[in-house]
Amino acid sequence: MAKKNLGRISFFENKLSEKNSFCGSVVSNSYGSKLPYKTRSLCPECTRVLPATVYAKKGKVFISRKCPLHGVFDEIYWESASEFERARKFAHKSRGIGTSNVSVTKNSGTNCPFDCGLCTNHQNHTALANMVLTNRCDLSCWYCFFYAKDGDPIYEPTIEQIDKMFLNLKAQKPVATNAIQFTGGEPTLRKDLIQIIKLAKKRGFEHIQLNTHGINFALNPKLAKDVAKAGVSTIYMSFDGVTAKSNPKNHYEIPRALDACRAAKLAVVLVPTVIKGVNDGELGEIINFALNNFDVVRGVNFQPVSFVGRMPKSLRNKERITIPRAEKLIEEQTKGIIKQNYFFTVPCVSSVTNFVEAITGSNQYSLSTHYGCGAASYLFFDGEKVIPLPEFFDVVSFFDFLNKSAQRIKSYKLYNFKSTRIIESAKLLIELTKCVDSKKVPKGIDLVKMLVDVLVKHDYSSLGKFSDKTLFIGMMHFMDSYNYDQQRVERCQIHYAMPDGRIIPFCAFNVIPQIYRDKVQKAYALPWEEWSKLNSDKSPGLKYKRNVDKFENEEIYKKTYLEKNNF
Amino acid sequence: MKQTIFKKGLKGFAQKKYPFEEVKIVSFSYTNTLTKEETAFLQYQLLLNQGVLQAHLEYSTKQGILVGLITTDFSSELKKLGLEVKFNLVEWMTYKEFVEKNSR
Repeated sequence: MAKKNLGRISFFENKLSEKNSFCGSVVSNSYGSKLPYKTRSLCPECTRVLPATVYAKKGKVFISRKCPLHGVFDEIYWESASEFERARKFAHKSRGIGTSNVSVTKNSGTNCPFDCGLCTNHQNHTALANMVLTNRCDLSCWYCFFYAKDGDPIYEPTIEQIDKMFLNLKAQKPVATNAIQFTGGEPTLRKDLIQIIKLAKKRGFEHIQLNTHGINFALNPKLAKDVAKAGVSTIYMSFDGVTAKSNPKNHYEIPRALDACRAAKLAVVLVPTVIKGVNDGELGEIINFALNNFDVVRGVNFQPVSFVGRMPKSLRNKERITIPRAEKLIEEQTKGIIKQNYFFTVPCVSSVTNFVEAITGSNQYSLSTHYGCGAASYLFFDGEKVIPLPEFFDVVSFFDFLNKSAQRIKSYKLYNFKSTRIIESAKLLIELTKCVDSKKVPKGIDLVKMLVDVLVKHDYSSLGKFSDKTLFIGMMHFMDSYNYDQQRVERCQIHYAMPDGRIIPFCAFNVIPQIYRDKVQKAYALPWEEWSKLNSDKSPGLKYKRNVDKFENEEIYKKTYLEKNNF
Repeated sequence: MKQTIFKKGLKGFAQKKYPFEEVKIVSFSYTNTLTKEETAFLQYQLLLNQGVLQAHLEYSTKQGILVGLITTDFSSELKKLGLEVKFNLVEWMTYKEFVEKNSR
């Protein structure tokens, strides 16, 4: 097997050297190509950048490269080549960014991913900015890599530093960042959290998320009301399974936490990290749980596990799961109601951006991330029946129409010519009626009207009603050093703002922490003892102690873990 | 040593915006014949040094630029990696300016 892999690697290495084109452009130029395609990856042992090949074998997709010191690394990339091909068709050309956050070194990313960032080679603006508010956490989960252990320096950017990061994100071109997620550690441990949220709102962030384990909402429901009042719209809540065994982090506190969010009118997105052999048997049950708490849970965003540090192949194979496998398991565990082909890769929605940009003639917020990064679908739920959106709406034809329509408008070069837009808007209405299966559409949903309102009139009021009846099911597979694909990191749209002025793609920040996350946080951190002295009311290492009996016997616990099966 | 912020005691610490006062920017050219992979790897190795805040080595022009703490001995760092360099320019700027330049 190793011999076979070596052969494959050498073939592509030769091809690469023939063209003498081992540079960022090779990676960019091959984006959207059929398998096999050339990219760059990392050596998981020494972090050397290496030419790599993404290829299909036995119906699966692998990424392979050879380090001169550590040999061949051949890792599963997607567990279905046919699903990868279906996603690839939505590959969308990115428009780049108009700003650089590495002005002093003036680099253009030739040594990607060591040149972040963002450099001028980066392909996409920030769709969601992450901001670490603290590295403290009151839990110490065995699988978590990102919290200060006893004695570690404490990183908590000051309000001034945070404001600087806000302004930096807002200065981004061609589209200013509009969505931000506060994360940690555990961000609710910050005493000035409310002040930070208010400042974000003041700086113009329309969508503010809080990434939390929710325990502090369970213990203090007023906190949920306070964060909502300050401007948070969505709680991104860890939720790894429906049992105490699969979700040791917050199983007992989830009912109270959801109830606090319910009272505060906060939308909750559950975020399960999916690990093969640990909780991959509960994906359907997690969605079912979300439906049983549909009044407060607006989505589930599954995150297939990404490995931190070095890990033997046997263990990786034991725990690795990728997007298509998770989708397939959802299909199996929901009795075929949520089919695998109901999931669409993230950049499919770029068609909507194309159309709106053509109609308005101005740059719009775009989701043109790599098609291998994530996928999503929507479910309608009336309290009784689950109807996935693609069941009654022809998503592919609709997106295809939007792309063609955008091309027509642009080719006319008549951005300001009203009649072109009127004609295309009328065609949109006709096309929409063709795409919607009126026999299967859920009662009370006027999908055609809603889409016309959003796409043509830019009236988003009906979107709220739509969202109230739907559950978002998403997948986001962050990379690790074993499945690292530079093509993906170049297109990343989930970025971390750092206090030194740089904005770092998620999978550079977390996969190469030694030159990004840890390094900068160390520079800005306070020694443990000094932090303790400054915050004399608590120790940075203070851990939460759970009273299981108290939670388990509460009415809200029984109500939340309702034994109602919607599939 | 300009990394004085931790040495000044606790009073007023929370108001401090920057961990360093000044940074040094060194531009240089190198004569070694390197592949693009080797160039990227050397840049990575430079960045592992806590005293190097940013670095870029350009394969096509054999030029490099390092930004770091003023106490960092860039010459010996580059020598350790086997790079034969000729320094072109050494500049200083406040760390605040450095952050401002990044923030665009």
